[in-house]
Amino acid sequence: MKTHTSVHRVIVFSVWVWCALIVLAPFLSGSEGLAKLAGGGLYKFFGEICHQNNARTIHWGGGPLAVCARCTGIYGGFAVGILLFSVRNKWTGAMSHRRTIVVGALPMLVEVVAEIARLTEAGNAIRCSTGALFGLSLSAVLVALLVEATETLAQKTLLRFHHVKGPTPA
Amino acid sequence: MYGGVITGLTIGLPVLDLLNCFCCGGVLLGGLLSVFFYTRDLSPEAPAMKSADALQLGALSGVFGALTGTVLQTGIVAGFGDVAREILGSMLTDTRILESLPNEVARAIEEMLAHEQSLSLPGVMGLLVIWMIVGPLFGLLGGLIGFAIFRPPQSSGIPMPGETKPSAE
Repeated sequence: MKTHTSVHRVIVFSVWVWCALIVLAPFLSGSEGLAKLAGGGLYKFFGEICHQNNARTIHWGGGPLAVCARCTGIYGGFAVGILLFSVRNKWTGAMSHRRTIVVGALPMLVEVVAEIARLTEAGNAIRCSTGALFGLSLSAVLVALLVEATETLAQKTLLRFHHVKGPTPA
Repeated sequence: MYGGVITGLTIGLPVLDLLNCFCCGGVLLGGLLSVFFYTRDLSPEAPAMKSADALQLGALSGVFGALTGTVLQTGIVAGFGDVAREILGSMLTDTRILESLPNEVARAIEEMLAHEQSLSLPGVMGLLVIWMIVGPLFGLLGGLIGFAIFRPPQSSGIPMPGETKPSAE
């Protein structure tokens, strides 16, 4: 039980650190010396997983965040969801996993298709909101699986370690 | 293995790497497909797949993809230079796809195509380090999404943090 809770805490912490790095990037690159270098490094790192289009990115702290508005929404939604669904876990079982992902992704997909078809020009707020819905739906599906899988692997590793070392003498 | 190859291709190939601009979509897809291929090839007598297996599969596909993708990308740049991007650029211009895209997207693609790729040891090592972090991370998430989608339906729920597990009495 104790492992179960601590694994969850580690996962929550990691997700929030990831989100903090996205927000920290403009603040760091706006400062001097080593912090500026770290900010540049963060932009480079997140640049591999996001287009970082300036017009499609939320600006805060004197610069754009490290990922676009949609990605910010997805990560933010996931980070909130990972807290929310561990408090109210009954919500996660309400729908099947497939349906949860589809329902969560639908507004974002509609918005993307509408933009490509030039039916509408969605702003960053809408991109972020639809992304957040998708992130929330992903966390609803993944939070329990992630905790369960990590805990199983941690226990396996501990057992293997214990087996190699042998039982401690009484 | 197949999932890892797909991940590697989405990291290394010039056009397919655009997939990773969407929250590492290519790597997520690789993890998801590795679970799909694994469950498809699983014999009925074999024990049911667990979430931990999916996590490991996804992470492994991410590691494999990071390695092959970096090698592929480096090989393409070393062998052809920016030829691949030039071909892509002329293809987009000829087919006039850019004109049909929203202005911001078209501009972003043009900027990306104008960006010259250079080959240096620190650059390649940096790329490898980034993908060795991002690959397994998003790969394992893709693996778990694949597990959630492709596993057979079951009645038992997974206990959440702070919840007691059903005892095997």
